[in-house]
Formats: sequence, C-alpha cells, structure tokens
Amino acid sequence: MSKLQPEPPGPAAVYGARARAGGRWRRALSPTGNLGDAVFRGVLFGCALLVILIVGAMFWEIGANARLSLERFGFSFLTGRSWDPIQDEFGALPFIYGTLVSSVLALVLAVPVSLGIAIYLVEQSPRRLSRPLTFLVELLAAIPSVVYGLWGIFVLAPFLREYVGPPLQKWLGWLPLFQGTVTGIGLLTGGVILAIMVTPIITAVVRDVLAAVPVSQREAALALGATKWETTRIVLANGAPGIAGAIILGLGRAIGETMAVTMVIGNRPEISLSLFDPSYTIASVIANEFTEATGDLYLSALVELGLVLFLVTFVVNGAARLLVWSVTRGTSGVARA
Amino acid sequence: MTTAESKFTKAAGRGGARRRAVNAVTSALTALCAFAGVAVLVLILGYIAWRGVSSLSWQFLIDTPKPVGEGGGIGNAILGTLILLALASAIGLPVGIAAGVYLSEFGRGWFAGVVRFVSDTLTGVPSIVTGVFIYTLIVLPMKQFSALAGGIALAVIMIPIVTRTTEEMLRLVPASLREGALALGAPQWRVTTGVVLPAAASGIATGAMLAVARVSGETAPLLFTAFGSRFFSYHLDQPVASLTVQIFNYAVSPYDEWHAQAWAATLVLMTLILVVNVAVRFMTRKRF
Amino acid sequence: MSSDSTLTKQAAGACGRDDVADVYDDGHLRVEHDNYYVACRGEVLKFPRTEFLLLSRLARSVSRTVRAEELWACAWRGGKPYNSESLHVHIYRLRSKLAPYGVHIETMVNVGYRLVLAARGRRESAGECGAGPAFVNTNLGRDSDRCNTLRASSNFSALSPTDRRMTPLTRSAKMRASTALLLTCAVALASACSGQPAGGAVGPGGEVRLQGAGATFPNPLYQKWLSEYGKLRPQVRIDYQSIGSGGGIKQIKEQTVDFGASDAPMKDEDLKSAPGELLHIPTVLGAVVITYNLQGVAQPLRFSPETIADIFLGKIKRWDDERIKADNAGVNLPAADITVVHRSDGSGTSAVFTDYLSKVSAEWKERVGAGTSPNWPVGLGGKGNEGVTGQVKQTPNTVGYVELAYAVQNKLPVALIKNASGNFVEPSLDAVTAAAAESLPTTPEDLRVSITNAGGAGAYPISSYTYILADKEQKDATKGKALVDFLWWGIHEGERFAKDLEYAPLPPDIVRRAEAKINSITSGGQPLRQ
Repeated sequence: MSKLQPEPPGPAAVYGARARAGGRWRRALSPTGNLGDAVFRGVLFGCALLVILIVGAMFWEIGANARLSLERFGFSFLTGRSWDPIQDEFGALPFIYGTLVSSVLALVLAVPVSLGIAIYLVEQSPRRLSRPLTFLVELLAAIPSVVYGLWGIFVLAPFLREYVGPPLQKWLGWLPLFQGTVTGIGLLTGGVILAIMVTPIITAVVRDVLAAVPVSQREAALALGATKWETTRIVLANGAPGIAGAIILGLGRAIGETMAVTMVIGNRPEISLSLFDPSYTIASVIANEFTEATGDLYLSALVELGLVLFLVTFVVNGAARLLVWSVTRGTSGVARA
Repeated sequence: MTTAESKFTKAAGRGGARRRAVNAVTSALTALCAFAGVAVLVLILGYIAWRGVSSLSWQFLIDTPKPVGEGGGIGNAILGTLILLALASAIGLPVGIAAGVYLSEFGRGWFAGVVRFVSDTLTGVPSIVTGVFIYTLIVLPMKQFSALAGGIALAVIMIPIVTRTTEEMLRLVPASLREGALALGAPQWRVTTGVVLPAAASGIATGAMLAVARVSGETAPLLFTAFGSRFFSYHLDQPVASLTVQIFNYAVSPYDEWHAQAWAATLVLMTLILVVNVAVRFMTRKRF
Repeated sequence: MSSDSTLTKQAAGACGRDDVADVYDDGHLRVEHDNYYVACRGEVLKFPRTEFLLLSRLARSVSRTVRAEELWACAWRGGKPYNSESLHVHIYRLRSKLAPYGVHIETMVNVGYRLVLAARGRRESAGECGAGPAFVNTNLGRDSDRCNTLRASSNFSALSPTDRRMTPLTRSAKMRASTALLLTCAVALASACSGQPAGGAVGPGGEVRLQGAGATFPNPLYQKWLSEYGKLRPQVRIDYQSIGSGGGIKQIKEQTVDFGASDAPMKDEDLKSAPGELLHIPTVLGAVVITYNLQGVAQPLRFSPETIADIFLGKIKRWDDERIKADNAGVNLPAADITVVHRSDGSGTSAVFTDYLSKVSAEWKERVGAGTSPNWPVGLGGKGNEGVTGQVKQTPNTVGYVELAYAVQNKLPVALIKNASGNFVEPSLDAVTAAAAESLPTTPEDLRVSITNAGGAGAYPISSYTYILADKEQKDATKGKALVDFLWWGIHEGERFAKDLEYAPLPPDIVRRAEAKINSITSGGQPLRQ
C-alpha cells in the first residue's frame, strides 16, 4: 500500500537541494544565500532555541531546588515506597507507577476513540455536520480541569461504580487488574477522566492531519477500486507521523494533568495491580501538597518529584517514538514524532 | 503501484463481500466513536449548564465578586482572562509558530531533534511546576504578582503545543508548492511566509486554538503569578483576576451559591473560547 | 541671609508670593520659602527640589485650593507642558512623607490640591517647633547634627541647611546632578522621616492598597470583611487571595504581600527564617467535624477519641465493630466495611485533625503524627474539603472529616465527639468558642496555640484558630496604619459576620490579647495605633 505514495522529500530537503547549488560562503549565511533568508532563519532559530532555553532553565531551577532531597535520598528516592512528610521520608515509586498506568490507560482508551472521531469528521461525515462537531470537540479542551474533577466525582465515579465496575469484575474478575472492591474512586476512574481530557487534543490534531492529506491520494485509491475504509487506511498511513505527534501531545497532557485526576484517583501512594484501587500521580501530589508544604526537605522532595516527572516524560516520549517508528517503518513517512 | 493495483482488482473479484463488510463495520465504528465523543461532551456541557445556568444574568457578567449571599459577578475575571489570554497569545503564538516553522523547514540534525524532544517534554510538565518556575523567575524579583507573570506562565504552556502542531501541519504542505515557489525565484523567507504558512493556516489555527483552549482552563499556573483580584484591573504590573482562579475558589467553597456561580463562570469561559474559536476559524478559513 | 533671599526670589520667580511673607510658620509646620527649609514639630524635613517647590506653593495658601496648573507652573518652570501624571506622582510622594506629621494634602478632583493641617492640637507636644524665628538657629543646629548622620551616605548636602549660603544657581545645578541619587535615596529618606511620631491616618484622597494571601478556609469570611470594610473606608483597597496556608506563609516571608494568613501557627524555624518579626493575629475559629454516609442511620453517631483514632488507623474495619456499638446503643449499624476518606492535599484541616488524634492516641502519635499531609494508614484521599464532601456524599459506608461549614452547607450528618471532660459534644460554634476560652490559661503570649482536646464540659475537642500574619515592624507607615486599622475592625466589628458563615467568633479574652498584638505593630519604632 505504501507504494501508492510517492516518496515525498521533506521540506528541509527541498531547501537543502537548492543550497547545494550555492557558493560556500553564501551557504554559511543561509542555505539559499539571501540576506533576508539569513535574518529569517536566525529569528526562527532563536525561537527554537528559546524553547530549549525555557526547558533548560526550568530543569536547572528544579534541579537547584531539589538538591537537598537529591543529596539526602539519592537513588533511593526513585525506589522508595513510603511518602511521609511528617517523618521526612520520601519515596517516589508509587507516584511513578500511578502516573504511568493512568496515562497509558488514558491513551489506550482515548487513541482509538480519537482516531475514530477524526476519521468520521474528515472522511465520512457530511460537511455541514463536520464543522460544528469539530467546534464541540475542541470545546472539550477548554473546560477547566477542576470542572472535570467535580464532574468526575459527582457523575463519572458513581456511574463507573454502579454500571461498569461490577460487570468488569464479573467477566474479567480473574485478571488481577479487576480485583478488589469497587468504590468508584481509583485508577480506572482517573484513566477515564484523563481519556476524556486528552481526546479533544488528539482528535483536533489528527483531524487536521487527515484533512491535509491531498485529495488526489484518496481519488487515486478510490479509482483503483479501494473501498472507503481501504482509502482511509492509506490516508492514515500517510499521516502517521502527524498522528504520532498528536498522541504525544495527548500523552503530555495526561502526564501533567493534576486537578481532575486528583479528585477521582483516590490519592493513595500505593502500588496495586487492580484498576479499582486508589493510586496517585506525580503531578497530583505536587499540586496537592506544594501550596501547604513547609519545611525545606519536604519542599525539596516535592520539587524533586517534578524532576522525576521530567525523567518519566523523557522515557515515555522515547518509548513512544520507538513504538511509532517500528509501526511506521514499513510505510513512507519517517517516524519523527 | 502495480502491486496495489493488482491487490485491489483481485480483492474486488474474490474477497469483495468481505471487504465491503469490513468497510461497513469500520464506518459504523468511526461513527460510533464520533457519537460517543459528542455524547460525552454533551453530557458534560449539559451538566455544567444545568448547574450554572440559574446564576447567569447580565449583572453577573459585569459585576465584581461579592461575599457569599450578596450575588456579585465575574466581570473583572472575564476582563482578566481576556488580558491574560491576549498576553499569552502575543508571546506564545509567535514563538511557538516560529519554532514550528524552524523545525519543519530547517529542522534537520541533532539540534532539531533536541528541540522536538524538549518541547514534547514541556507539554508534560504539570502546569503548577510552570507556575512555580515563573514565580521564581519573575514574581520574586519584581516582588509583585502581575498579569504579566501570568501571561508568561500561560505562554510557556502554549509554546510546545503550538510548536508541534505547526510543525506537523507545515510538513503536510506538499513539497511541490515550495519547489514551485522557489523555482519562480522567490527567496526562502518569501516562500515560507507567503506560500507555505498560508497553505497550512487552518491547521496552525487549530494548534493555536487548542493551545488557547488548553491554557484558558488552567488554574494552577495562575495561582502564584497572576494571583487574582477583587477589582477591575487593567495594569499589567498588578495582580489580575481570572475566570479559572475564580471558578476554583468558588468550587472549593462550602456554599451552594458560589458553586452555582462557579458553574456559570465555566459556562461563560466556554462561550468565550467558542467565540474566539469561531473568530479565528473565520479568519483562517481555507483558501486553497 | 537677606541677600540670599533676594537672589532666591529671582531664581524662584514669583509664585503667588506677593501677598505672603517669605516664611510660613503656624507653630506646627515651618516653611522658609527662600531657604528650601521645612521643619515640622522641630524636625527638619528634606525634600527634593520639585517636591519642596510644590509644598512651598501649597503652604502659601494653607487650606485653600491651589489649581493644578498653577502648581505645575511653580514647580516645573520653563514652560514644560502640563502633565497631570507627573504632578500627581510628586504630590503622592510629598503626601506620604508629610502624612506622619499630620500634614495632609487633599485632592480636589479635577481642580487641584490644598494643604490641610490636621494635627493642630499637637502644637504643645511639638516643643521648640512652635517657637519664633529667634529660636530657629538653635533648632537647626541640633537638627542638622542628627540629620547629617542620616545623610552621611547619601550626599544630600545640597539640601542641607548648613549649606544655606550657597548661591541658588550652584545649588540648583548640584541638585540636578544628584537627582538620580535623590531618587534612589527617596525610600530611605521616607522611612527615616516616617520614623517620627505618626499623627495622621491615610492621606485623604490617596488610595492605599493592601494585598493579602493565604489560607483557603477563612476566605469566605475575609471576602465579606473586605467588602464591608471597603464600604466604610473606600480609600483603602484591600485584596485577599486564597492560595493555601503554606502559600500565605511563603508570600509574607518573601514580602510579596502585605499580610499573610494561615490556619496553623507558623513553626519556630519558619518564624526564624522570616526577614522580620511576624505576629500571629487570630481572627476566628473553625471546627473539624466527623461526617459519614450510612444508609438507615438517622440519629447522629457518637465517637470516643480512641475509636476515631483506631478507625483512621485501620484497626476498626467494620461499622458493626463492638467499640462503635458501645458508644451508639440502639443504632442499627450496618455490617459493612468502613471506607475512610481523608484530605489528599496538604491542609490545615488535616493538621488540626491529626493534631487531635496525636493528643488522644499514643499509637497515632507514634505511627503517623500530626501535620498537613500525614501518611494515612488507610483510606481514600479527596482533594479539598469539597473533594472529601463529595466522596462521602457519593460513596456508601464512608467516614471522613471536613470543616464544619461544609457539613452544614451540604447537610451531612455530623458525629458527636467525647471531649476531655467525658461529654459527647455536638460541633457547634458556641462549643468551639468555648474550647478557645477553656484553653486560655495555656495560651502563650504569641497566641500560637493548639486548642484541640480542650477541657471544659461544653468544649468541642477538634477546633482551631485561623490567623492573619503581619510584620511587627511595618516598612510603610501609611500601609501599616491601614492594615492595623483593618485588623482592629476585623476582630471587633468583623466578628459579627462570623456566625452567619459558620465560623466561631473569638472569645472576649482572646480579642483583648489580639488587641495587644495589633497595638504592638509599629513603623519606625512608633506604634501605628493610638
């Protein structure tokens, strides 16, 4: 199927090809040897650099503030399971676990749905329906997370407790994932809330990615006798890198989300396999305890959690890239999400 | 081409029924997803409206907050949110779009990889960490909470979202467009600003709107930067109220009256986003 | 001296001076127009040139309004176009320097300004200041000695009375040269000047802004206070943001706010690391109540302290446990597991609750301890009072603790708790005030005290103060005065708003102790409240 698409040269390659034709000096200035281009490029480079600087400064700031805790606990901070500010004992493992599981759960739920919505909006829905639906979905992104949280407590948690938990336990109760008592507050609810929150982000970006795939591709596939779904798969393959980017944006939101998750996840720093048990995420504990924390070591430990979150995001992003790369390897686009 | 062609023709001959069935099932599934997404949205919106609509009134939109039992409104918070969003957009959008253009048009080699990776990491930073970062960077040296600090905190959250969406959208602009423009002798900056960016305008607008929507719902980064205020404030160096902080303060209070106001304020916030969204869409609607 | 005068006259130009003598002296304020000399209550005051010229013009027509344009023409000679902003800034500075001496500059909106002497009655206390010109020189000698030490580092000689023989031209040149220095030293000068007896309150027409931040728990009450106080004193603009007690403590230490607020008193090490001495001023009291969700149980449950501790320790696991039954004869307790709900965010509510449990249970003290974010042995964490309320409301067979107001507003059942005297007490505002009154003998001088598990028959055992934190030494006298007045109003008139919002007012004895705290607030060593 991949052979349907011509190998598109990346934009950078286009300019690069032109640059190779220019002289060495002019090339040093800018690939195209134009003064305006040099300035333009410089400005863009500055902005890209700014992004790095922001993160660098943040990293530095966080590192400096976390020094006390780093020195005291060292590596054991990552493996410790106890979080007790009164005794000055700090271990991050339960939070790391909770963050990973809730985010993965959110993506597992949200990605298929988001893709489905996006495909429907771009490929299937009548035009007059597609526009308002897009608005509606993007509106989801604007709801303050505290509102999601309250909605989670008052609507979602009881719903899951009454109508989702028991059947899950009945049919899949033999899995360690679905054991224990169903209180409605726990990892599962946290994951579902996160899924609802990241869905608009993923949907919106994927929708635009799909919409940007040239119509000619669809026409070509259809002309060859492909069904609508087969055409969609071609379109999807073409947009794969963009879709991966969308998923990573969603993942970022899921990992960094605080208010909504903390209201429904149960906030217990414990590692339990069951999705019905309460858990805790790194972002939640920072948001929960930072404003009331007094004592230098305590504050420093909270800041170090921020550092750990950085690392978790690094690792997860890296893993996601690998995954995307291995999936899209056979197809045309180079995975660069 | 030939393999694909033969596959399709072959399939049309033998597995036609199966393919049509798959097609029908997937179509139904995607429609179902869309329906489910919209259903959840309608549920949440309905819930917000149900809880909040009773408090909505003209007075509510223009008044300043009052103690519990005396009504009051969110006029200053609406103004504050608009100021903060304008500030954040003024800082975050140009930087984000420029960084995205850089990544897409020049982004090769290790530097671009680092920028991409770092901006992805930035999207996962909890907003309260961003808030505390800006607090130490700007508020402490100024010894003053300010709208400016709040705007910058929100901008920092916006930048990675805008960068990544911009990059993705620009990459989908066909290379032939660039080649065509370059072939006509246009310098690269003209090609990018005059041809590539307009072609991707609608997609970039989506990214921008997502970013604006995302930050407009943020409370944590404003708590220690823009702070909040009971009064109307137009000064960038003064604390300024915002809808989300107001919503948060009211939502965690014990009083039903304030709860209802929090829901009503949420409704207002979403209407605000809707209006901005429609306006931006209208301005960047596809011309190609 | 006389030749000086004529010279100055020429340089200064005629500024409505024809009808007035060259020295204004009402016994309180003395302005020598030609000498750039101002004294008040025997104190030599120094002003930058523009401010002096403004004051000089205003002093020529005391109690009469001078048009803004005329003031401008006097102070900014050379036909600079009129700029109300610049004028206002200088008037503002002048005003804040003069306010402590009871000399006010009133704004006549859209017209101009006028000088008002409010503190005439202090003439006697002003001592030598009231004396005639004959004594001026002796006065000056003493004053300049003192002022020279103040001035030593700031190169203010251009304005010093000892340099009065300087020709006006050089003087003005020198002044211009030192304008930058003047600006940087203005703050130091202002604070040095305000170190003198503070007579006046806030300058009329001048708006004073105060910013406070901290505890979430008293926020509804403080909003009410600010609104009511704003009606009384519209020129004082106070704002309060609820960012959490920890945030409040942090902000007052960083000096980003004028006052902080905290539910729990600050710890010793926090107080030590603060830049100045901080005072705890109690404002109201709150109670933490035990609430639960049990279907079919109508009458309120009763708990002994040990039972509560064991439930939250996870040792009592079921509602039909013998020990719960023992306190609740005749109540049909369900045969169900107890689900404990606690706060997940760091919170003063948790601090008070765990402080109580640590007092009544040795095991709790040993295993968990007291703090804003303890390591809970069992249970679900809810975010905020609202989160705990929601979870208890939504989930059957739960037990949790929230602030009284949340239980009342949400109509949650609340448990009676056995206090130190052995009585089961229902949480009520009077029972909370009683707990504070009973704890009076053990209340230390700085009012940082825990009143949980208080003795006394009617005292509710899980109660606490909430405090406003203020610097003992206020940098800015005007702001300090406004703050002191507000606090004074709060613990007196403000208390009557407490009960409607489910806060317990302070007992009278504590109000008296708080008054003493407020009275001890100073600026430049002088008490702000008189």
